[in-house]
Amino acid sequence: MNRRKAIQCLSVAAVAIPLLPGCNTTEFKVYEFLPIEKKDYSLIEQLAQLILPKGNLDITTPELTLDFILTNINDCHKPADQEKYLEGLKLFHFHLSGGKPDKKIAFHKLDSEEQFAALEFLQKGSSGSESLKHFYHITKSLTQLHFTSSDYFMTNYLDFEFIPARFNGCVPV
Amino acid sequence: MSNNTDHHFDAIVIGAGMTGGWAAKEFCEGGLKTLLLDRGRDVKHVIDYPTTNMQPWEFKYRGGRNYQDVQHNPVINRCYAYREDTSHFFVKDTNHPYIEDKPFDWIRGYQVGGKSIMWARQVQRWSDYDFEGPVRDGFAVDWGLRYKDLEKWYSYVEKFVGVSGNLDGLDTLPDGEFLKAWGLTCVEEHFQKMVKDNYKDRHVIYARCAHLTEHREIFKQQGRVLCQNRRVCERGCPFGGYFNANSTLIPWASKTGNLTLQPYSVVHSIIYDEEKNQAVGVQVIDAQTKETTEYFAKVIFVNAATFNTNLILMNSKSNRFPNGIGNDQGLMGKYVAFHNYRAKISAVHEGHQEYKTEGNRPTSTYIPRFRNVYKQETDFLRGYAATFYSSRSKIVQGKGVGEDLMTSLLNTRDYHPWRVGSGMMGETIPKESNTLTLDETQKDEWGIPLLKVNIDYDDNDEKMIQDFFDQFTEMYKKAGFTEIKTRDTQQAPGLDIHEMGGVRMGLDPKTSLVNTWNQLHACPNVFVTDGACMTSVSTQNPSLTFMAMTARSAHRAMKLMDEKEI
Repeated sequence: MNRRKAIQCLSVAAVAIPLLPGCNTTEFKVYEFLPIEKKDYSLIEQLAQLILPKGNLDITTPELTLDFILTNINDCHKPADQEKYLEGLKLFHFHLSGGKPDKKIAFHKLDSEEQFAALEFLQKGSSGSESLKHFYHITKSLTQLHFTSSDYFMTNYLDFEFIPARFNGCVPV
Repeated sequence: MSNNTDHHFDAIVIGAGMTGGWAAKEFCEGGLKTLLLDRGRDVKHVIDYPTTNMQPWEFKYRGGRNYQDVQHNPVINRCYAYREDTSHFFVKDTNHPYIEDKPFDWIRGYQVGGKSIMWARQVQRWSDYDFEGPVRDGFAVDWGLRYKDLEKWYSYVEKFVGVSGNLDGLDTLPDGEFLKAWGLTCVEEHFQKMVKDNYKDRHVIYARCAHLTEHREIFKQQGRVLCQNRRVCERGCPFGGYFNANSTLIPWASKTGNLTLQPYSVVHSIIYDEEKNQAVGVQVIDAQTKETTEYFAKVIFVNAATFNTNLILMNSKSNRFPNGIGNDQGLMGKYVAFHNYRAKISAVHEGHQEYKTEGNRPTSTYIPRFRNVYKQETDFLRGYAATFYSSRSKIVQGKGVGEDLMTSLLNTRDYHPWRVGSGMMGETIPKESNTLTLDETQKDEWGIPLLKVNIDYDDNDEKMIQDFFDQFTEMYKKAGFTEIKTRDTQQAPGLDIHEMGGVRMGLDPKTSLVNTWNQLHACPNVFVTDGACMTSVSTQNPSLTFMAMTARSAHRAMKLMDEKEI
C-alpha cells in the first residue's frame, strides 16, 4: 500500500468513513441531513475521482474528498439544495441502471468507458433535469475546491505563505 | 490604599476589553488594588487562541458558513470577521438576545479582551475638525474636549500599543508616534499621485494600524515581537504582532500584583449610597452559578462597550437616580450614532500588469475626510473617510473534466488584472430619536432587562452615500480604472461595529451626562470612557480615541483620589 493510500485508510478509520477499495472497514459516517446508502458513498467518491483524477500527485488533505463533499453539503447547504442533490443522485442511479430501479449497478464496477459515458451524460445535462445538473455541479465544484484549497495547490500554485514576514507592494510578476 | 479583602478594592473596572484593559493597567501601575470584571470567560494570550496556527485547509468548510448557524444566528453571521476560524470569539444571537425596534446588527465579544481580539486595528487620530464639529454645524452639544487635551494621551497610547504609520503632515489627521510603514502597492501609489494632481484637499495615505513593525524596548518587556504579516489577526496572534488587551494590557496590569481579574462576572448595576452621595460598588451576578455578590471601591470605571455601558447605567436605579445613575436630565441612551458603511465601490485597473504584491499587509490605504472640512459645501452635514485597497490574484480555471480539468488547474500561473475598491466610513449625526432603552418586562437569564435598540439612518446619510458614489466614481475615472461598480449594501446600522454615544460628554450637566474628564456629572466617582461617552462620531475608527480618553481619565481619577475629591 503506497503512502497516499495508507493516509486515506488512516483518515477513514479516524472519521469512520468507509469504502475505499483496499480499506477494510464497514463503518460509515452519518450525515444528519443526507440519508444516503453505501452505494451512494461509493458512487460520489468514484465520481469525484473521475472528475479530478489526482494520478501520482502527492496530495495529503485532512479529510477525504468524499467527506469534504458530504460534510459541506450536510452542514452548509440549505435543505432545498440538499434535497435537490439527493434527487439528482437518485436520478443518476436511475440512469446507470438503464431505467430499471431494481437493477443494482455499482459505479466503481463499471469499466472506464462506461464510467466516462456516465460522466459525459452528467456534463451535458442532456436529461434536462435541474436536480441532476445540481448534483453534478455541486460534486464537481466541491471536488475542485477540495483540491484547490489543499496544501499542495495553495503552496505550489497560489503562492500561499502562512508566515510571509514581509510585504512588498510592487514586485515583478 | 485599601486592601482587596472582603470585596473591597480601590478601583473597579467593568469590562476587560480594550478600554477596561487600559483603565486597569493605569490603576495597577498607580498602585491601586483593582478589580477587573468581565462577563465572559478568560482568554489567555496564545493559550486561548485555538485556531491561530491552523492552515486554511484545516478548516472543514474552507471559509464557508454553517447553514444552521446562519439560521439561528443571522446577525453575527453578517459580520465580516465572524468566520470558521474566529466564531468562538463572537456572541451568538441566540445566547444573548436584544430587542430591535429597528434593525440593528449588534456585534459583540463577551470574553476577557472583548472585541480587541478581533478588531480591525485601524488607529487614526481625531483632530479639532472632528471635536468642533457639533459646535460648528449645530448638532449634539459641544464636547468641551479638544485635540490639545488628548494629544499627549494619543502619544502615550501609541507608544505602548505600537502603531505603524507615515508622518503625513495633514491637519485633518494629526501625526502620531509611528513605527515604520509597510508602504503602498504600485496601484495605490498611482491612485495617490492622481488624487494629489487633481485635488488639493484630498489625500491617499497609508492607513495607520496597531501592528509592530519595529523593535522597541517596551514591546520586548510586553513579550511581543514583530508582526509576521500572516493576516489572520482575528484569531489572536501568538507573536503579539498586533495590539490586543490580552497580549498587552492585562498581563502588564497583572504583573504589578494589584490586579484581580474576575471573568464570568455579569454586572447587574452600580450601587449608589444615598448618605455618601456617591457610588460605592457594583452588584455582580456570577454568569454560571447566578449567585449575586457585591464589590466595593472608591472609583468605578464603566467600560462594558457602548451599549452594555448604557444598559448597566440605566439599570443602576436608586431613590436618587430612579432613571439610572447619572441620568437626571433623561438623556441617557439618546443621541446614539455610528458609522455609515453602506457605500462600496469597486473597479479594475488594467495598468501595472507587470507587477504584483508579495507577502501580506494587515492594513490598507486611507483617504481622510475631505467633504465639508473647512466650510460647509454640500447639502449634507459632515462627511466620510474611505478605504482604498488594491490586489491581484491568480486565475484559477476549472476547465473541462478529468485529465483536462487537472491540466487546467495545474496551469495556474497568470494573474487577473488588479482589483481596486473603497468603502465609505460616513459620520452620522447623533439624534435624540436614536435610542437605547430597557425593556420593561423582558429580561435575560440573569434577570437583567433586555436592551431595546431603536437606531436608523436618516436623509443626511442617504445624501452622503450618493456623494460618495459621485466623488469616488469621478476619482476612479480620473485614475483610469474601468468596470467601476457602486453598491449600496443596504445593511442595517451596526456592522460598522462603531456604535457610540448614549452617555455623551459635554460641559453642561443639563445637556450632557459626563464631563470632559469622563465623570458622570451627577456622580463623579463613576467614569465612562468607552464608546458610550462619545458626543459625535467623526469618521475615524474610534478605538484609539477611546484608549487615549481612558488613560487620561484614569490618571485624573487617581489625582482626585489623592486629593480626596472622590
